[in-house]
Amino acid sequence: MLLNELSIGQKASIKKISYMPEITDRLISMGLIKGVVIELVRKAPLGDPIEIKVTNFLLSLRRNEASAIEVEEIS
Amino acid sequence: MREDKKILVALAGNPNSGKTSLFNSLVGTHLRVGNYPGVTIEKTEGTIKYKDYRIIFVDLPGTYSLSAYSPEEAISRNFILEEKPDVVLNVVDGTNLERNLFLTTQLMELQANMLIALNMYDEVLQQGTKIDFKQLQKILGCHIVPTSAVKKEGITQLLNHIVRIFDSKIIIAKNKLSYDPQEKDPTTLAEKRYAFINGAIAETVEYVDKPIKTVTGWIDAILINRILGIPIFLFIMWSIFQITFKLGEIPMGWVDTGVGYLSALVSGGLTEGWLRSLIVDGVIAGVGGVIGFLPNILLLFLCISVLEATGYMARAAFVVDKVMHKIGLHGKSFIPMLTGFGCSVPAFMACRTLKNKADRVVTMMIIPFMSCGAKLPVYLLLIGAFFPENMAGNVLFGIYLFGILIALLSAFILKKALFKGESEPFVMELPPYRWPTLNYLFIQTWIKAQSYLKKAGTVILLISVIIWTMTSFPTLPQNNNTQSALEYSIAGRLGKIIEPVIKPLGFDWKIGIALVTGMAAKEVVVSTLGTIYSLEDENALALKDRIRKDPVFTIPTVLSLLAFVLLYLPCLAATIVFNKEVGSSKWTWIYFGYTMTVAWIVSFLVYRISSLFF
Repeated sequence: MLLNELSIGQKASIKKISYMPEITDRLISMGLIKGVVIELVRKAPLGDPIEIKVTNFLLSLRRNEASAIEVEEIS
Repeated sequence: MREDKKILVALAGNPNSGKTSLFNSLVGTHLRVGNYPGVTIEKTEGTIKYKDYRIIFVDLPGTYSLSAYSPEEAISRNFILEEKPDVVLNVVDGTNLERNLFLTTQLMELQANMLIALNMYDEVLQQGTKIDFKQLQKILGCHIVPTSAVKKEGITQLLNHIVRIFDSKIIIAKNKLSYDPQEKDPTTLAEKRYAFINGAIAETVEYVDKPIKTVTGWIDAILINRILGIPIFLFIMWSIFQITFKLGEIPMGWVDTGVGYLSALVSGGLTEGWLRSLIVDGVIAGVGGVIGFLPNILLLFLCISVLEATGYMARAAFVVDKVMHKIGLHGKSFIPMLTGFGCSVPAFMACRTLKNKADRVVTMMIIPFMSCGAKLPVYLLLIGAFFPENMAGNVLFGIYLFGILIALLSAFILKKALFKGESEPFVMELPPYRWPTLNYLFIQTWIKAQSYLKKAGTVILLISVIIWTMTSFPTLPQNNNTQSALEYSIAGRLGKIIEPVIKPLGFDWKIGIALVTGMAAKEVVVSTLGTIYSLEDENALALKDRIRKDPVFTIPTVLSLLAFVLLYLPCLAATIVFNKEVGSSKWTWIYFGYTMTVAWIVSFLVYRISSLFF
């Protein structure tokens, strides 16, 4: 499934990052690569963007950007 | 006399790693802000004397990576490769090693002379994390000094290490990478870097349950929750304006009184004539009027710095992005727009973070509608003169809100009309909440105060003298009884010429003169009114009271004047920077035309509509 399909509080591990111009490089440089565990923390008051927890920090990104990240749920 | 040895140190690190705070701790107020050659990214450097050495610190832009994809990354990379600094001080956020070390590996790939400052070490200890420094140093090949910008710890050790590296007393091992940095595929290269980093951390760092700052979590649960997020955001913005007005009133009163005394002193001491008039009506009235607003402006800049330093700014962008994106902008446009509340010049420069041309140009074109600090004196003057005190803060907030509304509307229209390009990605870190260091706030505010006073001492002083000249000459001949001295002067005639164009807005030629001179610098609107009314009225009243006596200032006129000053072309300095940032004069002309048209139409509507009620 894709990152933007997670529900709040769900944890998942990254399977693959598809190519999106400019976004992929940014995501990689911030530590989002295969195998990394992330958690969906919240959605903004207006529904977009979303906030995820990655290793030790919090990252926000738009839902359509999050759709570049394919994840596998961890129960 | 032996000349000091010069050491060049470049600071590199992630945004939010406390790099700038550390830089401030190292350099104090001996800093200088300029530009990197060829681009308009701010270059901050500072020089200090330490033992027998002169150390030049250059604060490179904060970056997550050194690939050449963004201007900041390219600048940092090129600086290290071309200027060959004696030491590259890599500031690493100790609470975020996995991500921060990504940049470190790239610095190692560049064979830089590295020294690592493990910053926020106080927080690392608080979290219970244990780091084996000796082993980590061995793995990375360079020294690591724990630092805390907040507690001001580690500064002397850093300086000692820098000197020892320069004197070759410390040897840096540069062959420590376990992978081939020439790898072509970026994803594979990234994975190899992280493999190296994770290996290093597994060996040397012991976490206690890998906590993320829960305090931040609790605060965010309130500040950006689905229901409270937006009201809280609006409340914070509103508070800033109340603080600026209410608190700022007090020192402003002192300055006004001081200027009054000075004026009376000079009037008493000199004989009547042009010299006395020049000093009292030109210089003191003009410059004095503007200096009174320094406290208000400082408070505004202070508030913006606090928001940035605590980490709330990022939350604000997070809350607001959906709206920004809908009108074709970016959540990151919010920060330059907010900076525009202080001054358009750094706001235009801040738009460099918007890589996409459409986002950048449109954001720049609407920034002037974010009422800058220079317009504040004009508002405060008019509001102070014509509205009761308990309404004042709300009217001020109303003006700012109105500006924002026009800006958002404009963004939507401009984006559709001029560009249909793709928007820039939003990906952005939400840093943990931190107490801002007083040192950092003090230095940031001091820099702004300096430049405001410099502007007052030079540009505004010069313009005050010019205006005084334009309003005093030619002098009225003795036998002329049909006109006042002001009408006869150059300025008066100029005002009369444009009067027909501004009459529908409720303005007269005197206001016209002030608006024309206001194109040089917005505070000058106040200076000019100061000079005009000082010449007309010899009683030692405050400007506020003098304009209240002039019948042209009805409530509709005041409202439409407020709207016009809000919207029309920003000052000369800002326009010059706009032109430089946007790169072509075509956009500058569009910008000129657009702001003037919007200002005129909106003022007209405000005047006509409010005339129905007041």
